[in-house]
Amino acid sequence: MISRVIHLEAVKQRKLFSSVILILAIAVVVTNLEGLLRSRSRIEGIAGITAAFLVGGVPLLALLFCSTAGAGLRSSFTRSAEEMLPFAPIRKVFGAYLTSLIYFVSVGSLIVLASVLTGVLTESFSVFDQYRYVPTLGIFLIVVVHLHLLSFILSYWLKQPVLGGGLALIFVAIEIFFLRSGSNTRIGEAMDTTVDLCLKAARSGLLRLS
Amino acid sequence: MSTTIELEGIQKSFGKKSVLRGISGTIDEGKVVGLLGRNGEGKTTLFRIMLDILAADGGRVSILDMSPDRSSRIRLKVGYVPERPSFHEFMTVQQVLNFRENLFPTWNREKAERMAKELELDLTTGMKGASKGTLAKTAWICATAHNPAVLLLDEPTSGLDALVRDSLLTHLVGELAEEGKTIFVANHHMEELSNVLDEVWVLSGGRIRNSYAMDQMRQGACRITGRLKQADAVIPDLPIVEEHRSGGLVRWPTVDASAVRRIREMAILDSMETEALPAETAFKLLLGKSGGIL
Repeated sequence: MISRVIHLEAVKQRKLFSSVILILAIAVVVTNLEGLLRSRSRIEGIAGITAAFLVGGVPLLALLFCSTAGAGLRSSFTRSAEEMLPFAPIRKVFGAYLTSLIYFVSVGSLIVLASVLTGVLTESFSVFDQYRYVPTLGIFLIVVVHLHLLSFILSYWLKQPVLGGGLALIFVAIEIFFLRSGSNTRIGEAMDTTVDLCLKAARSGLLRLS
Repeated sequence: MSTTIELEGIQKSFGKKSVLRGISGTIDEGKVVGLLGRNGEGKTTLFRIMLDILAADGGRVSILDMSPDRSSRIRLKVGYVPERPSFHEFMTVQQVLNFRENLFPTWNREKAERMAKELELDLTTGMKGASKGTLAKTAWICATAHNPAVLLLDEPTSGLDALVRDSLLTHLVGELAEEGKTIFVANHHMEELSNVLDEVWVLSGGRIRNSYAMDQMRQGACRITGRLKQADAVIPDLPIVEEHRSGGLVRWPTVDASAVRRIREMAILDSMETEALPAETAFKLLLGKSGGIL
């Protein structure tokens, strides 16, 4: 039965997914056109936009997909349309979360793949030694997954995607602050590195676009 | 005949407002029972508790030997037509039916198609902006095409025109009753169902105040008028709905066939006339008794 829930949720959330893909595509096309006008190579433009999406887009998408799915479950219209379906509430919630995660991972993978192909990711990482590579990536993933889960829970609980997503963002920001300034030096260092990496990727992107 | 639905002391409150205060009753297999109650008495709440959509604060529900346990398995065996049906707006009628077919193992596609044809329902109609008639007809098909043994109908023709009401109520409910389905129905136009009802429950103040067998009601619903032998006579407990007294003249509406017999036996009236009441008035009387609208 969970596959049926995911099927229904996939149909419900596909509009958001399609919109995000469309925005990504438009951004790439516009960057290319703008690059042509400024006699810049195509790959530079794509790399720049990929860097921007990697740093800001991935966390934003985590927020967007999950808060929409979480609050969507609690809307009165959805509830009345689905109350007669033989879905146990826990499966419905799990199915909605899983679907938003699938969509998020799909788009996120696309962005990460593009950043690898365009060299944004490897270039940003090249400044760090091998020792820091894994914890840095790990911290980034943990923060994003945490943001994803928290925005789903808060949006579901508050029945409000914007409020839920916003609160999740604040909680995660506070969490990052405490992790950076906490007593565990290894976590603090890894956190610093992650923040530096994000800033570097963003700078790299901006330089390529400018 | 086995018991299909058992309700025992169902209680439900929303905040400080107590809606259901101990609903109890049983419905045997194949019976059609009407639930009569004024707006806000908790009919929908009771149905939602029975369907495992809402959790009761207290009491016990058993439908086909299943109790609500938040697993939703009851909804596989019970059909439900809500007062205000709603479906995903991105689907057409056909897509709604196809989706349900995948969810209900006992779904009968031929039956769904036949019903859609009988109800003149256009399967290509989108749910966005669909008319009340389309929504109601789709809800009926969704509630019955998986061949449930029990049907809960909550104001199933609310807001529909007379023609659609007639095709849904007279034909479908009659047909389903003939098939031996157990039907529990709340309807503002209960008189339209009087031919198929076996029993009527009156819900008032969060409790089932009375239940009446329809056979008895059909025979017994009448207005008794007469003149008391003693104008100020104190009448012992009679099965009447209410009393209108003006001097020695009395008017006693009743839905109980034994009332006339008992009055005759007691010989308290000089003259007595009885006038049969139409079903509509009889149901209003029941509501009046419980809420004082008459």
